[in-house]
Amino acid sequence: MNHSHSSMPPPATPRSLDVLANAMAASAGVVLAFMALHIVADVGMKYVFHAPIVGTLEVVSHYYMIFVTFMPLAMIEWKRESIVVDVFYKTFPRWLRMASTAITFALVIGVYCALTYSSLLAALHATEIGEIAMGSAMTVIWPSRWALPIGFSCACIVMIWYLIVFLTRNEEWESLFDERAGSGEFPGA
Amino acid sequence: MDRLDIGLISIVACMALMAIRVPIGVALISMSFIGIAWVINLNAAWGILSSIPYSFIATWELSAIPMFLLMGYVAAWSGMTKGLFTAMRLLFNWIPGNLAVASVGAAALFSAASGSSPATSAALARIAVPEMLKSKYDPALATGTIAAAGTLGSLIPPSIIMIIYGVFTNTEIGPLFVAGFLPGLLTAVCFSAMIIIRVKAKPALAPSSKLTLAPEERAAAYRDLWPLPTLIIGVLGGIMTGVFSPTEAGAVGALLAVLIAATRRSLSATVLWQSLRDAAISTAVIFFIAIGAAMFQRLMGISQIPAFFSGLILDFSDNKYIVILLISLIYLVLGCFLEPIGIMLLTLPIVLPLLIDLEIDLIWFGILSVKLLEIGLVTPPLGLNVYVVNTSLGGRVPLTTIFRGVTWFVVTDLFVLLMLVSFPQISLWLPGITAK
Repeated sequence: MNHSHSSMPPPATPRSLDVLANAMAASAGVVLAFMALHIVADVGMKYVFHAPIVGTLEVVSHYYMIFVTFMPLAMIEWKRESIVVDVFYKTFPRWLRMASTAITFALVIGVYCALTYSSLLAALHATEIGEIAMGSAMTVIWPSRWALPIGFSCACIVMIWYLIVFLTRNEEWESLFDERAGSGEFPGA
Repeated sequence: MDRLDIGLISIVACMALMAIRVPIGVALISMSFIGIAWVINLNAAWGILSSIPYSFIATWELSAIPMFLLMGYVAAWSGMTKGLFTAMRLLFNWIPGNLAVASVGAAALFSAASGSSPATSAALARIAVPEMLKSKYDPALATGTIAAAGTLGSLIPPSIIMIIYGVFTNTEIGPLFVAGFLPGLLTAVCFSAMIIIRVKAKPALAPSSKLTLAPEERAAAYRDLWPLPTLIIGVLGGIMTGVFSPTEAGAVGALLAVLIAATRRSLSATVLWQSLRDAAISTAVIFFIAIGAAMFQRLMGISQIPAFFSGLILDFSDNKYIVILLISLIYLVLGCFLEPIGIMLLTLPIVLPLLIDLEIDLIWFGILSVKLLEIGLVTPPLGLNVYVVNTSLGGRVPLTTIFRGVTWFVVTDLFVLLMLVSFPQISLWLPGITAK
């Protein structure tokens, strides 16, 4: 078993990024557990006591869903688990692979920066007006808006680290990227 | 340049970016942003970028996806899928080509635990193919069976791709799930029948290999048989009787999976933790692309591409069946290099208005498109499932052999597709009787 080749994170990995990505994915896992329990409890209350938990729909949509979706983004980038099409890439000569990777970096980092910026403005605005959702119950939702800039910015930081590897350690970038690149299948789903 | 041109350029640019390995979600988001800024203005583009990620995700219907993913991961991590193949072997011991038929059966049940076809094929390839090769099965038959059987997962509920289809087309997800059941079963039956007929005609393809186990081993194997059907029946039954919404069915299903794992003494803190984490990560992977698709849908709407596309196809023919045939061709071509959820998210914004124009039943079309996307997974030159089987076996069986083996299944699939198109009742009967 060649560990230096198959294990992730790669050598000389900043531990802080590893901790960050893992902690955020873990928080999403915890929220997912609460989500499942909350929904089951709601179903139980509905059928056993004819009294569903008020506001389940709002809390599931505005809190659990938002957390579970945006918190693991840093982890996805860290483990290189985004879905990509690499049937063509595999046939490219080296210079074209480098060019493609450079374009990919520019776009991915650009998109995360833009998302961070726009979601930050949205979160600030929501906080200012104290945003609420009007459903079966009035639910305060502005705090959940902050999950987006946090998730996007952390993913962005991870990608910036990969960019630095790409720019400074030319020998390593390829193995770093190819190992994790999916074949387009969902990670284990 | 008019907005239509910009829309078309965006589509082409988006495909080009995907081809050079830009992540699908990033390609969709960046092209939508640039396209909208170009057609309207930069303010509008920022507006969509800041509103869609939150508003699209904060919906109750989509919440079924993390719940079903969680259920699947609990089932997989707690080992419910492990003994399935052996149990199926015992069940089909008396049938010609029993190992291949058992693989089809195992794949059908596996679908409860797996939202993705390539993952089903990968797992089964490692379990079933070595057994078949050891029994001197024709390698093409052995590997082709696994590549094709993996595609059953998306039709038999619960199915992630159907939830996404339902959300994007505004179709109720419960009936979609119910509608997929018979077509999935029909596919499994036709696959098995084809295998049996072929083996009867040419016994050398699959020499008989009866599994003989001691009584206690046999009992142990049969104990692996009940968990996944229980999950499918629990989920589907709950939805059919109207007791649960899909999200509720998913959450109850996840709890049911935990309880089943506990009774089988295969539940541990690690299993739970891994399942939660993996389900959260997969949710984020899928939803990031879905956010991109939701933005792309806006761009398509603004640039009037769907109307243009409808016009193009309707000029050719306004016959429902010919339109479906044309869309099928597009799906099969895209299926060569894109993964099904990606194709569905990319094409629905363009195709949907046409379907509504022609008053095509959206549940029926949902089933047809899932079937088509699955066929795309096994057709040359680049069927993803075939590659996955090839990789899972460490290249022991060459790609050309697997494609040769898959051909029979593709022909069978096309037959099933023809049945589904000719007899919409196969898909619509079950949701029809449960709606009341």
